[in-house]
Amino acid sequence: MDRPTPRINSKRMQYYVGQVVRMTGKMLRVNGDTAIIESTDGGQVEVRLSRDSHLSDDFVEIIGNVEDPHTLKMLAGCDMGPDLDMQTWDTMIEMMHKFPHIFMDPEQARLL
Amino acid sequence: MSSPFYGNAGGGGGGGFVPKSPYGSQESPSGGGGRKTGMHSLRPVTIKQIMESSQAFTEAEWQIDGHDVPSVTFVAQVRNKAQQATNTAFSLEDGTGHIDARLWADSNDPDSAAGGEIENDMWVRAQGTIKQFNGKKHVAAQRVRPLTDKLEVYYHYCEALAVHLELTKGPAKANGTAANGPAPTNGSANVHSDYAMGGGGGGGGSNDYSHMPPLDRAIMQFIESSGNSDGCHLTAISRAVGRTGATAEQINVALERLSDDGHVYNTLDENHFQSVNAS
Repeated sequence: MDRPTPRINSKRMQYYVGQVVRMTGKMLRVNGDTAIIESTDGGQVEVRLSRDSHLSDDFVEIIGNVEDPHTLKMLAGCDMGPDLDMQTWDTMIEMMHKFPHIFMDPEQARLL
Repeated sequence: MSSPFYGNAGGGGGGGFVPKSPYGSQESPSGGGGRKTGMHSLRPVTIKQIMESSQAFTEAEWQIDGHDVPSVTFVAQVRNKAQQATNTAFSLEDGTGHIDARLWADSNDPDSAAGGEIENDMWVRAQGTIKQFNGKKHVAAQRVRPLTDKLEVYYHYCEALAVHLELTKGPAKANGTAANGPAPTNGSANVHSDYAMGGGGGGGGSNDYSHMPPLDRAIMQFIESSGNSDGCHLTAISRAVGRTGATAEQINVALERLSDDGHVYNTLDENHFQSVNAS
């Protein structure tokens, strides 16, 4: 992970196909090796879990490769606790894309 | 105490004592007066900012956004950890970049040594100084502790962003809602508009009182613009800010508030006020 991994929400998925990103969300359900998470902006994203994933909390952060605008292939992930203010988190994502210089390469940012 | 010494040495020429040595030793403390302010300031940053920090020459202070950063604090995820006899090396990553950090064991307190409770993939907060060795940056950490609340990750980014923007674009400007400060007087609308004009015209001052109620701001600006080392008399302040419609009582309350908050102090007597920022 030499390049910064931008934090995104579900609305930005379509612009990041083929890139490694981070997405935080609420785990809605797990079905075999796929999970559905609700992104911080409320959109649902399908996550193809890595084989060794052991996520257990309600809220998780997924580092993964965007396969298509609705699917994330998980590379790593971590638990973010049982309770998280999704709206605050989403606002911060917007700020990161508005002022990308300290967070990512400026061309990685995507202002909606 | 120095005058008899000086008189004797100058007049007698061959006094029985050596005036040089006491003077010499007295001079040395004042000679080292070049201390930099803010030497120990701690700045919240992202790892990307650390990687992009620069220094004017080897051994110079590291700079980010053109400002010295003697120490930094940041949040990151532990990607790897290697415990050694005297220190622990962490490989840290926060989504903006990647850096190695070394936490040295505290010789006074071997039990808490070098982050034994930290495991891979944990989120941590680290604090330390930027170092460079063989062209590769790392952080000499004074402290690395696990995060208990993951929201700290994002609040740290908020903090880092706020400092970055303040240093690159200047302090936050006062917006139109400043009038709802603790002094909602009936004349506040007038005071506010007057300040807006005054601020536009004479905005040369380096101090920003945008967080203050309009009346307090007007007083601070008047005191600083007067340039009198003894400060300003209450009457002069009242005359200057009174034409905006503030009553004597409001001015007194405002001065008391400014005094309590440490912005002004009394000089000659209790009716003279001087700004703490006046030189």
